[in-house]
Amino acid sequence: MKFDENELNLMFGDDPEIFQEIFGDFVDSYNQMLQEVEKSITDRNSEGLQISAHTLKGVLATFCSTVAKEHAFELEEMGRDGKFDDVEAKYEVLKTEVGHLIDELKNFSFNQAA
Amino acid sequence: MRILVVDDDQINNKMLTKKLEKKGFDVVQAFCGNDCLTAVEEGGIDLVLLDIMMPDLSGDQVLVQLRKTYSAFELPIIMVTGKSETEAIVNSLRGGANDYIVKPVNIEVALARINTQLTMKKLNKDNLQKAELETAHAMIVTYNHEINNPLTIALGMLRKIEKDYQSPYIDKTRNALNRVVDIVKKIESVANSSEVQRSDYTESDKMIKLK
Repeated sequence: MKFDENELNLMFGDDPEIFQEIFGDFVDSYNQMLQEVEKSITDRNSEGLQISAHTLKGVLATFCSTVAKEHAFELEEMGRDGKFDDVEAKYEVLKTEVGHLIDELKNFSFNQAA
Repeated sequence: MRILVVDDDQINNKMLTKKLEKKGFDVVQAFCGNDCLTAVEEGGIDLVLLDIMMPDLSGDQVLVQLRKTYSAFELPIIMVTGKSETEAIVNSLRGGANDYIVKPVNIEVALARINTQLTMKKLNKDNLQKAELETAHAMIVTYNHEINNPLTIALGMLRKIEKDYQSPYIDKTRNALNRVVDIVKKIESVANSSEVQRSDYTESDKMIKLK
């Protein structure tokens, strides 16, 4: 699983309507969030990369992401340290993992978790 | 109670806002540091939940600005941060933040910390009111004592003078002194009240309202 089911139930089990609303917002906006990360990489803007990756990391944490969140954190640190080695490859992995996360969350319902 | 949620990430901001509203709080949203400062300036904010990393002003920069005007008791500020940001957390606490919570925000933990801060804010306000009342009371007792002594002497001397002299000025003097006696009694009643009400005396001074 690309997210922690138990954590997600703890976060939203009592508020499935809030989850649906903000998940909908995420589906509508994740491409733009990824594009901001990508732009910072293209521009070699380390502060921009740090902030955009940090923001994305925060959102991924909200959905209890296990994998994508760590990739966002890696990119955040690269931005903080001003290091861009293999950054494009890392970004592509992040993009793929975010897609997987969204697909799995779309199929998740709150009565699935043990 | 009105809480200001400050986070540039619209999704997290909305999630926290909706969860707090569901728990009965009145919530105002801000999506950047400058909006946060504007919202606080407009008034009515009881507590701020403040994200640390934001693109215009960072949470720490906002914290510094707010603490120039509001103490930790007057405006509790809880920083909202990622788990890896230990150094940022320490810096914020040193900068005057009351507490912090970690993303993803567990609403029950957030509520416990929010309620603790709001309780401390109320206790501080109650203590200040009590101290104000005690100070006013002590001042009243002191001034009444200082006024009563010469007043008693003046009234006593006036009665002696009346025995030997008749003059309209004696009645006027007695009336003026009796007005002072009345004022002293009214001032005493303020000391016995549970609340001190004030009104404007000059632009910079206030006076206590006497019933």
